[in-house]
Amino acid sequence: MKFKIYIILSVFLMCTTSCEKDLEQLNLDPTRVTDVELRLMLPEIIAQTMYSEGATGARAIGIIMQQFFGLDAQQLAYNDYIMGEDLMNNYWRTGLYSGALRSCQVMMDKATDQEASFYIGVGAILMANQYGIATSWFGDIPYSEALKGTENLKPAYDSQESVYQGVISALDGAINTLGNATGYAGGDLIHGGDAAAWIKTARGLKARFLMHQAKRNSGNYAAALSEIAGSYASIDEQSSFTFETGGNANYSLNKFGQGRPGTLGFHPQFASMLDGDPRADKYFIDDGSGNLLFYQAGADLPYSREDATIAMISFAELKFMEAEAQLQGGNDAAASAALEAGIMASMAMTGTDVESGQAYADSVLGGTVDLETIITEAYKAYYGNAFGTTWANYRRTGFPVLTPSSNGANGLNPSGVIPQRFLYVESETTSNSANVEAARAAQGGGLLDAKLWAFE
Amino acid sequence: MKKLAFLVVVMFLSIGTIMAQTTVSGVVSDDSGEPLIGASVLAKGTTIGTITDIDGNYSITLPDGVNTLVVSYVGYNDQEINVTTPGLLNINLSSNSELLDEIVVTASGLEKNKRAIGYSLQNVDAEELLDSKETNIVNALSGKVAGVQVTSSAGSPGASSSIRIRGSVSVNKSNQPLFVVDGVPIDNGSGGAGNGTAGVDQSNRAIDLNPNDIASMTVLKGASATALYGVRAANGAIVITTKKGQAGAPVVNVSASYGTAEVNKLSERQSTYAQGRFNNGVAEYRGPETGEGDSWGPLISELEYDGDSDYLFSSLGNLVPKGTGNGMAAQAFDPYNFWVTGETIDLNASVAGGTDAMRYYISGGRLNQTGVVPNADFQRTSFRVNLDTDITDKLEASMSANYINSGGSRIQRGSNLQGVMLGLMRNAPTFDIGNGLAGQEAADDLSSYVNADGSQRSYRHGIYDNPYWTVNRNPAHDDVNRIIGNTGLKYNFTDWLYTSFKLGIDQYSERYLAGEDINLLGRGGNPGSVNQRFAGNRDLNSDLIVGLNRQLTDKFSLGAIVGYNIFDTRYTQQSTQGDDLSAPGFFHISNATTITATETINQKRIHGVYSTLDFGFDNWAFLNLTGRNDWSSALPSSNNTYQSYSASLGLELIEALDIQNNLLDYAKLRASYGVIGNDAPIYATTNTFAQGFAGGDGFISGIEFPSYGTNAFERSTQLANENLRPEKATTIELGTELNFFRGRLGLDVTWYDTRSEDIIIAVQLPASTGFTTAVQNSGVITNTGWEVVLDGAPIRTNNFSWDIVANFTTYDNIVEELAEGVDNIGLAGFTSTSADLVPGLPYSTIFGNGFQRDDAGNMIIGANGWPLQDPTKKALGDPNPDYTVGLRNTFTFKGLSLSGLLDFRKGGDMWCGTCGIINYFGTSKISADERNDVVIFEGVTEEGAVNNTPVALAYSPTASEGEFYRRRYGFGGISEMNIHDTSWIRLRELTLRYSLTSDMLGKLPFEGVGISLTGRNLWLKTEYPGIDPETNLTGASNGYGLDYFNMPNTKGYSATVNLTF
Repeated sequence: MKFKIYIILSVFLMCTTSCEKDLEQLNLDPTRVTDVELRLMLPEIIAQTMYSEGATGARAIGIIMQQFFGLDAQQLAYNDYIMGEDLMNNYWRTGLYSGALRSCQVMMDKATDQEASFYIGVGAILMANQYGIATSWFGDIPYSEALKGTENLKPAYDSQESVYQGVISALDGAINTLGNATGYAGGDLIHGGDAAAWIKTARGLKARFLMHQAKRNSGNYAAALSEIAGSYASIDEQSSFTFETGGNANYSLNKFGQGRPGTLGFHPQFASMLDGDPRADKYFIDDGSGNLLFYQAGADLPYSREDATIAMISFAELKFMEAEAQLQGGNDAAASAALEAGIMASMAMTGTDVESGQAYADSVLGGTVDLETIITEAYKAYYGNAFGTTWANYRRTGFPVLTPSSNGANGLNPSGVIPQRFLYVESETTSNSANVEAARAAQGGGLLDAKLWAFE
Repeated sequence: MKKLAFLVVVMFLSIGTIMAQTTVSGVVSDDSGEPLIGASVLAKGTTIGTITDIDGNYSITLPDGVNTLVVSYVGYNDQEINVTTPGLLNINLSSNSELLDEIVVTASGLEKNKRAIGYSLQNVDAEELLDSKETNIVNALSGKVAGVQVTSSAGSPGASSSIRIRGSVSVNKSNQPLFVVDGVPIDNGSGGAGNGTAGVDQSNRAIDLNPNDIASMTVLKGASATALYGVRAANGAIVITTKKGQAGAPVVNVSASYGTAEVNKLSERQSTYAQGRFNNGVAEYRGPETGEGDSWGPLISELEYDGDSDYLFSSLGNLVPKGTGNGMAAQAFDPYNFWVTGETIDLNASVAGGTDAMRYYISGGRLNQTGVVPNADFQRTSFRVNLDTDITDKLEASMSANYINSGGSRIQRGSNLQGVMLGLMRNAPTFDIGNGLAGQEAADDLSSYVNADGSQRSYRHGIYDNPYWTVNRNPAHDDVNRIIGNTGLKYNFTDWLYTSFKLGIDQYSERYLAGEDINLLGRGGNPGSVNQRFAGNRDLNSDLIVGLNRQLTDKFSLGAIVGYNIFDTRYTQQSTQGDDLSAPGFFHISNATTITATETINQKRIHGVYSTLDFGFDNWAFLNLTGRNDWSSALPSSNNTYQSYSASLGLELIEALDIQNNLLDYAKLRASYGVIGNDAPIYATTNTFAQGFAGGDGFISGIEFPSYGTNAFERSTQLANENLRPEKATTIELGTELNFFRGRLGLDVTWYDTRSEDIIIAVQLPASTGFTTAVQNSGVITNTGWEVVLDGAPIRTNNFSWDIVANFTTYDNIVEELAEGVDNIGLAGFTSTSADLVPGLPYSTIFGNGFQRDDAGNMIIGANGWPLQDPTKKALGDPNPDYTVGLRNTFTFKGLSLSGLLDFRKGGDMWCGTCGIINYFGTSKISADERNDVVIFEGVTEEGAVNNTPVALAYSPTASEGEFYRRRYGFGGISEMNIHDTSWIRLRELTLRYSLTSDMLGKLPFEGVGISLTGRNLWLKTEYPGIDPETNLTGASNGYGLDYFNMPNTKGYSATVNLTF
């Protein structure tokens, strides 16, 4: 070709080799680094997991579980279960898989290279918790083939059963690894580098995910009790994370209250359930014109304030699980004692004074303590800090008894029941469609009314 | 040969009765003896004249003292004839093929005769640009060039406009053409941010060019035309030549222009129903204090005021059911009285002239524009000096410097609680946003947007900002200082061999400051913020050329260029976001409690070696070959070189076959083939770590580090690719240019087919891979189209002419393939509705939620009578038009001319997100009109039977809001309900111009005086229910077809006076 002759001629004009070297340097973004220390990876992972505790999933579950009430825009549509493929798309992409899970994987790989077992163990715990929550929301999800980058660009979906198995064994592995924790160099915003505390958290999470599957295996109650026994002895030990004031680091529920005023309200039915409960004043504000606000600027509501303290898993949750497991084991007295401890832990987390908290607990214990009592009390205690567990409890036990929206039957939720799951997200259906289709087919079509394996 | 009688003969009446006259008559014919119809015969130095009739006959009586005839005809040389004796005088005119010539500027930067070009390009002259009275040079091209589609993002002052030549070929890189000014490419980016779905309208930087400095503009469309520019012109090029001085006395030009602008189209609103909600069959008034957003309340006629003078939101009091208040009837307010008339004042002065050795052009211009939104404005000040000097016989130097200061006050728009349109369109009919005032007066009065208790006065008590609040309390200003300059040296070794060097620089700095005021009282949730951004861009461009131009033999000519080009660009942006303001109304970073700073640096360098060869044979065969090799820093070093090349051939048949005739006098065939390489987005070859950010929630902001007493980093979610290859776009183009009737009718037809392969795409990965996107060579996009330009002069007499220019464009821009297993790539928009790429469908297909349909396309209706939503999103519309036509008619009578540009667009869909939302809130007219309707949706039941279940669209004795048609599918309805056709006819320009000639000016000290009146967008006819559908939410980005509270477009008038002396 003619032009090639000219190109050869023009080589005289320039030193191509040296130019190429220059050129390569120019394509490295000066605002990025190519390697990062472990202590600078962990904070983002912890912040991401704690952010998700009060973000999209939490709000949607709050509406499903009738603790929140949509007042406007998309939140209003959620009242009637118009919860499409777009609902959880951002969470799935940058909150979960290419968010917390991605960062866990990167950190654990580097920690493996550096033999820093602290970060391997903590990474495994954080990852297991994220996977456990996600499978309780979506059922079958990518697990064994996930997070492999170019090695597998179309990860298949593992059954919910095997994801839960993976979660439990990952927690076992982490507990083992952290028994000999090495290499801690900072960045632990939850337990400050205390490996023993992480082991307790891992055991608590193990109990959580054993309880998720209790309907499938009644032996899980006893197994959960033994994990609970090895977990937190008090609220002081729990995996608390405190957000900060200011727009960069505040709690996600607070962000929503600030940024999307008037779109989400506190559910009046939940408010009436809290009649006489000292936590009512900690949960919502009645503005006098018939609006119940879960957030108000400057108001001291512990779960919607900027610098809320939220636990990855709380001492209260351990106690409610313990109460349920003891009840199932026929130990009513132990069940009542655990229930009381759970209620009192919730009172402490919300800053309720002990006296009125105790009075409330006494009134609950004064009546019949059955499964409904325990799950309903957990429902009240988990508001604002453990929405995921509330939904899992409901789908396992049917408590508290809820009436679905009368307008809740639609193309996404044909039978109109309280949603049993979230839809797979849009980005997966457009980029991993064959695997999504297979997962839907394996789970009765995968619409909102299709029950998940663990809760069937 | 008999000439066609399509010419209408307009008789010119000779005036006055003059003594001692000489009368001559005869036939005017061409070289071959064919009579010329409508040739002008004029008594020299007078206005007395005539034109020839259908047989070429004329007869003229010369006044006393005049004995010279001037005979002229388009396409022929004028002839002056001395009349010595009265009686018969037959006249032959010789043809002038030069008149058919048009000088164009090609990619080599050289002026060429359009005859010698074998590919499609189109010129736009300076007058056409100026007459459009557009601030933005891009808008001035609208409707004028075949194959070019211009979309302004909004009618706001300074708003960006997108220009696409022959559709789109890239995915992650801009599809805007390269702008080249006097041989030097300039930046036409949209600043650091560009138009997002929220924020303010940003400018595209071509807005900095002063249209008054432009001498001509050539649009290079295909690969053959632009291959010499290489990668940067993969989407065509706009080649601009600025005015130059000519040897001679200084020519001073002063012009002043004043224009107005008003909103040209808005959605229709209802004025029947009050703010409020509808539950269990009962409509209840719920006023601003409730914070609720709906206008599904009772009939306004059923309400009256209670006269409570302490009522926060209105001095008239609160609204109560009729009979329970003070008897003063409730009323509907028209929030559209918010809009004001924008004004533009444009002052320009220039002086041009020089000596044989040095020519100069010096100009200054100042433009002041205010918007249709109170407090919105844009200013542009520009200075230019162009110097050309001959240092010696052989050495020439040129220098050009252009300084621009531009910027203004921007208005919040789009998906944004601060957005003007959002607050305006959602506003309830019963709430008076101006509190008794309107327009600028309301904007200047605190009582329209602040309540007595200090809370924001808006229909939801601060949830959505009152538009008057926004224009005062949510300011955004930009200020750009820019220098575009070049210096060039050219040395002529001989009269046919030269070398030249040109160095161009385009450097600008931008200061942007935006704030949102504290809005925490009432129901407001905004703790206030301030964002300051400093950005700088520097483009360096250097070209070293050796060229020759030689007539080799009588018949062969050769032109050749070999050049070496370096392009280096560096963009730096420092942005500081300050949140949680302390003092209200103080927009400075010191007032923020939380501060986040970010820095962006984008850099790239390309080395290019290029060559072009032009062969000409006997003035009828022209062959052009070009080749370019680029080395780009954006590609992996192992594979960073790529080629662009082209070949084009032009054959002029009349000359070639020697078949001169009067019907067809020019017939050129063009064929060309071109390939353009394109590099990758920068920084796509290495995985890196960025500062930590926790997010994953589209409704709220994320967590930014440093926080919690530590910094943090995270690996980027884009999977880098060290094996990227350059993209490649191949174009085949065929065309013809035909001239009939001595240039009275011209036809230019082009067909092209472009195939863009190995497109570098940030492909969406399943996030479960650990990455959200991967940069890959994948995908094929094709574009096939026709472009037709027709120009005619149905009437051309000495004093009157009628000219028609029409351009027609149609193309199919199809995404043939994406990466394996990738069904969809998002370009712009929201999670519910977006502009996407979908294999097999047109570029920027509108994608979103739709209804379930059976195989025959029937809507599936549920047992309750309502259409069922499809759980899976799908393609819903094609925003690309079927075809567009620009039609200009110009009538000239002596110094007076009237020109109108009609613009037709057939087809092309748009998502009217605004419509969906105002239908949802019940403020649209349609939401009122259908409020009591009961319908049966056309479709089939899930069992396949014809649906016959009636449903109440809204009000019924048992319904609640959630069951309404406009609400039951969620916020803003289902995307499919809001896809609309945008076909339009508009009178884009109407210009009346009057030029006084020197003899008319007499003693006045002017060489020339021009006065023009222009109407812009005076008439628009479209079925689109929202604003003027020439709009795009995301401005000049690659995604289009989205309208979500976009700012409306404008129409207006302007008057210009132009003095030359």
